[in-house]
Amino acid sequence: MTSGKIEDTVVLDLDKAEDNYGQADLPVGILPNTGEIAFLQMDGDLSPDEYNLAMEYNFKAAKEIHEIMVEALQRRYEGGEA
Amino acid sequence: MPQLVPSLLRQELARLAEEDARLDGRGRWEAREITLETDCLYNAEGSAKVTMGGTIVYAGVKFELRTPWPDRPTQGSLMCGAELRPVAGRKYEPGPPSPQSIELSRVVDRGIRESGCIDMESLCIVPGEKVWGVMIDIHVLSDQGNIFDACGLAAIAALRTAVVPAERFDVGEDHKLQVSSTPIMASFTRAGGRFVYDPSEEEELGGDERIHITLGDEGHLHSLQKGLKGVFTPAEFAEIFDEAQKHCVELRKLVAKEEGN
Repeated sequence: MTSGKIEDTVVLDLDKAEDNYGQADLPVGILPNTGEIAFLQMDGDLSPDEYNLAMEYNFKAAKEIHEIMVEALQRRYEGGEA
Repeated sequence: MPQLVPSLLRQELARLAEEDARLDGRGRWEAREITLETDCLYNAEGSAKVTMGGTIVYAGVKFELRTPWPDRPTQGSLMCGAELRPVAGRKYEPGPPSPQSIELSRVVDRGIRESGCIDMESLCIVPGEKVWGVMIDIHVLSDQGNIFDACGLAAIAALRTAVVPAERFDVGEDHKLQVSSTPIMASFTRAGGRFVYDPSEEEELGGDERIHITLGDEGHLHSLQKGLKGVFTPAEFAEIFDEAQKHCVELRKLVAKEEGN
C-alpha cells in the first residue's frame, strides 16, 4: 500500500501526478495476518505525526484489500463461480 | 558467489540478545566511537572523512558547469556516487558498480535531496544556459559495519563545508555552497532477533533485515529504506524511530561543531 502527502495533506493511493509532484510517498508491504511490515520505503518530508497517520491509512487499506481478496477466493472455490 | 551461512555467528548473536548484550560489549542503542574531519581532500571543493569504529569513509564534493534540463531551466543538479572496492572488505569485488554500491549511493542521495537542504534554484547561474552540477563522491575505505550512516554523515559534512569555485569557472566570486539543513541517517540491523543501532560487520553478517532512517533538523522523516529479508512490527519501528531521533540530534551537533572549526 502507498500513502503520501500532497499540499500538506496526508493521503492514500497516490495517482501519477500526486506521486510526481507531491511532498512525500510511503510505500509499505504489509502482511495482513500478522500486521508485520515486509517492505518499507519513503521519500520526501513527513513529520512523525504525519508518518503515523500515513501508516494508519496504509494498514487500514491493506486490511480492506485483504478482505476483498479472501472474499474473491472464497467465491471462486466455495461457490464454484469465478 | 554463494553466501556461506554463518550459523555459529547467528547462534552467538541470539545467545547474546537474550542477555541484552552485543559482541563488542556495546549496549543495544550504543554507537561506536565516531570521528569526523572536514577539508581533508586537496582537490575537492568540500570533503569529509568519517570513522565509526573500524569503518572508514571519505566523501568529496566537486562542481561542474552544465546546461540545465530543458524542463527545469532554473535548476542545478545533485549527483551522488558511492564506490565499494575490494580494499573495503573481502565481500567486495572489482568491476562495474555493484547493486550494494548503487543502493548505498541512492539512499544517501535521497536523504539529502528529499530534505530540500540544497535549493536547486540557488545553483542557477544563467536560466536555460548555465547551472551548477554538484557531485558527491563517496569512497568506502574500510567496511567494519554500518557504512550507510558513515557515508551519509561524510556526504552532508562535505556539502556543508563546500565552496563553490566560481572564480575558476569565471562566473563570479567563490562562495560557500548554500545548505539550509543537516539531514542525518540512522541505521539499524536485526541481530539475534532484535534491532541494534550502528551494526558492526559481524552483526550485519549474522543478522537479518536492516532499516535506514534519514531525519531532518525538525525531526521530520526524509527517507526510509528497508534492506534484506525479514519482517518487523510497527512497535519495533516506533522503538527504533525514537532512537534514531536521539542519535540524529547528536550527530547533527557533531557536524555543527566541525563546521565551527
